[in-house]
Amino acid sequence: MLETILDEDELYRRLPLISLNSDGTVNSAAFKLRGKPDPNISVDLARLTTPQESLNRVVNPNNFRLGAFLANTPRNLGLTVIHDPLDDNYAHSLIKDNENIQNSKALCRLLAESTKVIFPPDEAIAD
Amino acid sequence: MATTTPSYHKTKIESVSSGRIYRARSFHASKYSHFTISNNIDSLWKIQPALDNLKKISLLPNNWDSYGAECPSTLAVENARSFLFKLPSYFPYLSPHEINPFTIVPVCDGGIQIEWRNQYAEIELEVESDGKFSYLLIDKSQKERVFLEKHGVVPSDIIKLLEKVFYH
Repeated sequence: MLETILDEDELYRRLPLISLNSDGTVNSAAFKLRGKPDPNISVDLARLTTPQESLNRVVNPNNFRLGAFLANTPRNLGLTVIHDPLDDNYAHSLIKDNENIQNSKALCRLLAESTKVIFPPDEAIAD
Repeated sequence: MATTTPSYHKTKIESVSSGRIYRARSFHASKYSHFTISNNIDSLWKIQPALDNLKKISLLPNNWDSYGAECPSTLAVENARSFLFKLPSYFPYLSPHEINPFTIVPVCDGGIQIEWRNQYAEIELEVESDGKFSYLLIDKSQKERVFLEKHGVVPSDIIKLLEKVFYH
């Protein structure tokens, strides 16, 4: 069954450390494909998973951080957010309709600026 | 180390450092329709941090982002490296801090993104997996940020853009 994603729903996106800026912010490249927004950006619907579970979907979670933003962020930029469950990940969702948008690089940049790195918490990293 | 410059270009002595005379072209890169400047190997140390980052990125495996990303393409890496090599010659007066990118990151389709930031502007240069160049310029000199992006540009276009940002 598909979930309805509300504007205030939080979305998770795994971010490899190499895609983070030196000041800890998220780089727009995390949302790009061939110079434009990735036409299908995979995210997890936060209320159907946990930060740890979302991060543990990779083999080496220590090389990743988890970014979060609200569903209304891509929607306000003209994108579509839908639930797209996979066999092994019911929380999986997609940000779509990115292919014919003007100012596509700016869009990626704004999406990145709205993404906050939320997990693991700083104290856990320090440990 | 002598620098070979096109015959139509006047060189001048920019500075003397560590006993070496640095010859470099003037700032007027925009005069040239072709991106043919030679490298000044002596000044490549200025961009060593960027070259080191690029080297690290070039070694990424497929699926480095956990979402199926391609490893950086050879063409993207080589074009990015070639572009970085030229910066010390084009901007001989700039310090390593000024000339080195704010960041270099991989793009999931095999491209490379290089960014410069200062208080007036930010540039996101993307060297795409097929080696083509595109950019996003964020002008911060006005009350509200202005975004300008272009695809299918050539390196000399980026040099002109960097001139404006570096010498604002």
